[in-house]
Amino acid sequence: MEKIRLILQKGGCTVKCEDALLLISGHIDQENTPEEEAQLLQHLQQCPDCRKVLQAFEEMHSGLAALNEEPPADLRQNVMNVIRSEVPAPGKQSRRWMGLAVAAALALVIGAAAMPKWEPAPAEAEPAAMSRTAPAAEEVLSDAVTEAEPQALAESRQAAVVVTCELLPEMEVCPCETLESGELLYCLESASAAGTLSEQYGLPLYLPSEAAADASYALLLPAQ
Amino acid sequence: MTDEKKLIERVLAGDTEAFSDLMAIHEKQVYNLCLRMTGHPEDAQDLAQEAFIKAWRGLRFYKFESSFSTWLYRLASNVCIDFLRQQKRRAADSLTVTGEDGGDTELEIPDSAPMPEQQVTAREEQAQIAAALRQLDEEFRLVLTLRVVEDLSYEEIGAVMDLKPGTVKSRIARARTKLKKILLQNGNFFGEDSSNSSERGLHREM
Repeated sequence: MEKIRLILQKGGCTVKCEDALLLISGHIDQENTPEEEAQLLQHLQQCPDCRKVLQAFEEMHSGLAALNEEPPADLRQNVMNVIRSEVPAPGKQSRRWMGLAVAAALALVIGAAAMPKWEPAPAEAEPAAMSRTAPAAEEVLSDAVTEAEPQALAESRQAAVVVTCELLPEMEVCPCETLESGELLYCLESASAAGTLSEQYGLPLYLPSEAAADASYALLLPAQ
Repeated sequence: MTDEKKLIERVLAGDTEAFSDLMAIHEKQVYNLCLRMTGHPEDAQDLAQEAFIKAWRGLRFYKFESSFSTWLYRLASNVCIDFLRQQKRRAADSLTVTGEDGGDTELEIPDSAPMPEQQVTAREEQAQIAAALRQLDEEFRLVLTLRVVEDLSYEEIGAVMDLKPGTVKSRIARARTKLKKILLQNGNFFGEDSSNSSERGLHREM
């Protein structure tokens, strides 16, 4: 109060109604500086119109503040249903590991026969043989991709893939993408980073079978 | 706040169920923001759910720099604004008139007969002010909702809407002025005649 009286005594500049409006609004929100409060007080003492505006704004303010509804009971549940359907169920992991081993073995065995499939098919060269084996391999590998099998990832991205169940500190700063299966794939800093992590933490590492990796990733599986 | 940070980290590490606890903290605020912006509980629920799903999918982009609620409010505000703009473009089943400012407003169909002056109950008042809020342009509606319903400071609102606090302050003042005008037009909200001449200086602001 003392400070405000001093400011008033100094004779602060007179405030026009137009400017007072800003001060009235700021006053209601308790965001005015002490100087602004002083200016407002001085203006209100002389202006009954603005006093009415203040009163109107205060009524609106309490009216708005009273608008507070409870959220619908199923809001969270609806969200969780969507989220859960995007993440593999816990426990499925062990089955996936087994499927992984089988798929990896199959991919290695069929890999040689399937390889030509990845290049544009030559017009005449053994079309019968290719059409017999290619679809089978494609089936195995495409299943693998939707399950985010690390070997398939390593092949399709020509990258080293290290697999982990926990978010390692080295991964935190890396950009990551959410795969269709819901797992997170972190793009590591260098092509050798996955190998380093594999050694350091004793984690499984997957490398592309043809050519050297030119990138590396960390595949984060959800915790149990 | 550290508990919330731990929750977020758990979600990022793969603990999906922790997201439900995170939602519990912010559910009411996000829902009310969507409700004030759209005026319809069904739309509000859809939008609030959409906002949370987007928050979950984009959680890795939350950098812990701003507060989590700021980040979430920004996301929810954008969801609401996008929805309202789409609605405007479609202009489906609602009756629209072009207001004097050139904006579209929906005709409010009153639920009950107009009350005689000074007998307006608190519930009526709430309905009136909610309706008037819906008649504001989206930017005004958003800034007032964040300030009064969500109780954010000018600075926090600035962080959500990417505005300077000074801009927030003047926008809120103009939003209140417009809201008052709408309430006067709709009638019966203010106890006594609050219309006055101090508004004449403001017309060029609007």
